[in-house]
Amino acid sequence: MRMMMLEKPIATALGLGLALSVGWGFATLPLSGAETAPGVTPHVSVLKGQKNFFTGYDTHNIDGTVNVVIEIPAGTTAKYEVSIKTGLIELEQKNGAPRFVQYLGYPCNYGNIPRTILLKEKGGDGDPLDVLVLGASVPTGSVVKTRPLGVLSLIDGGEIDDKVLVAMENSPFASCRSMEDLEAKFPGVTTILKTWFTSYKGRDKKGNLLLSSTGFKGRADAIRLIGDSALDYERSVITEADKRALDEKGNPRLYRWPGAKNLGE
Amino acid sequence: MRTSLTTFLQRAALACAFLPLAAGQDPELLDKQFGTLQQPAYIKHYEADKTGKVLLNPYLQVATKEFPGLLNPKHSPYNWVIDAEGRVGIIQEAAHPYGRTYDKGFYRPEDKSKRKPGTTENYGHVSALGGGMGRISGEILCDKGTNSFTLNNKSGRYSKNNEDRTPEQLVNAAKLIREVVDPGSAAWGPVYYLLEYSPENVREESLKRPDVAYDDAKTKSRPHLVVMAAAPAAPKVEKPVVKAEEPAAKPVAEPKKAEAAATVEPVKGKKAKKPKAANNDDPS
Repeated sequence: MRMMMLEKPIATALGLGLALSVGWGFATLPLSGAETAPGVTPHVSVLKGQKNFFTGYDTHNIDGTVNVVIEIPAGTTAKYEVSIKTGLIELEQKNGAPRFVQYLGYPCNYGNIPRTILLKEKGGDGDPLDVLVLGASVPTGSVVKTRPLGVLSLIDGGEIDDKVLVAMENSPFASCRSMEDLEAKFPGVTTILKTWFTSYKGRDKKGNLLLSSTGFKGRADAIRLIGDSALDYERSVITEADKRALDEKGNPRLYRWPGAKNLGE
Repeated sequence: MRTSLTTFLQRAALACAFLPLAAGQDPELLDKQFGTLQQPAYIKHYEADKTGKVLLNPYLQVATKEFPGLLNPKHSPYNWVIDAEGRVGIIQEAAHPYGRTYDKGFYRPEDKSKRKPGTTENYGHVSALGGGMGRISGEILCDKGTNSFTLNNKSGRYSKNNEDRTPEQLVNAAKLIREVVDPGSAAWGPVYYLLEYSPENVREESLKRPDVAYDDAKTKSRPHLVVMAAAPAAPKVEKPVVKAEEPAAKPVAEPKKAEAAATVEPVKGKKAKKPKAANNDDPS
């Protein structure tokens, strides 16, 4: 009985510690190549979190920060991405082989904003909004709070492939209010990012870079892009059946909510 | 009922976990400056999902001195609300994903009003706080004629039906907004205290004032006070990208002590033309 009493709090503490140490708690296969011996790389890797990485987290928090799910930690090359079908994080496969960027490691953390979508009918790729996260390298599957700074305009294969640039809370970059601020306080960062993201896929047969960029847009554009893609996601999943029924005259019914004064009752 | 209350309390606690109190922010001082924290008057039927969670606005900004908010005349109108910690929540008007557009109009049960045909159910003030408690709130409207943003206290959820949403609190909120929000290429227009959204005692007294103005002097519709004059704005976040198409408005001459006094002085000078209310005329 005494052992059982001891085991439970210890197990709980260990579980809590594990959960906290890796973000929201997940445990499956090893992560990126950085954690394996030289020459040894994961072939198939699927990560499961406590929640669905695509739908389980809000886009915004009440303090105005934006949540980002980290797929690829800064400095690594394994191409992890959130599957919108399963909500898991998977190592991308191409022709039966795992995808690793054949270039320098990512210059920043890379991920996406949950509950957003770039609709194909609006020129997007049908995936969540991609994000470049400035701050210390954090593990795949971490969900971090960020604030938007700007947008890196990219064109990949003739398609618009914009990436929102954000600063992680409690990082040195969190003091930046704008792209001008970032350039002034952290010179060269924007050049590094633009160079990497336009160069990592290499060149075409004519010698031109496969990706191109018109540079960075400001914070207002980032706010707009995040909002539009969040709204598009919600509208894409909510149907008429999800909406509360109207009364027999086609008018809304009074809705009682526990935290409101409910005037009108 | 108990389950709903439990769920609400859990969510409220979770929401509060993200609201660290700013150093030196005395709650009593905030109460005096911006009004006491109040629950929203109501949550509309479309604002909460199936689980009862009030959706946050997808364009939410929470403006502080450290991280100012950003306005764009193209994306007006905006709504604003002062939160528990004295920060400014700003949201953009957008059709709510759980809402509808009523081609023939509809009867709104919360305030027993008839809404016009074509009215769309949009995100309201509660989407800045997730349904949480708030202080004074209102609208930010863009006057395209003068390329300026005006402020008012129009909010059916956090301003109306509250005892202490006074003109002084609106002035304090407007000063804070001008400090922590960047209006981009626009200037700051006048600040209007709408008597239809004021406490009853304030309304009765204010209607007797000689400086009370009306949208229509003949019908005496929408009585209001101009509590703060227009003023130019300096960029706080980004350099303006879009140049103003109209010449910047000349600021109305500010009365002496209008900025510093606790009581609201009548604003002298020409009466500024009040821009129209939010697009769908929704007072919430």
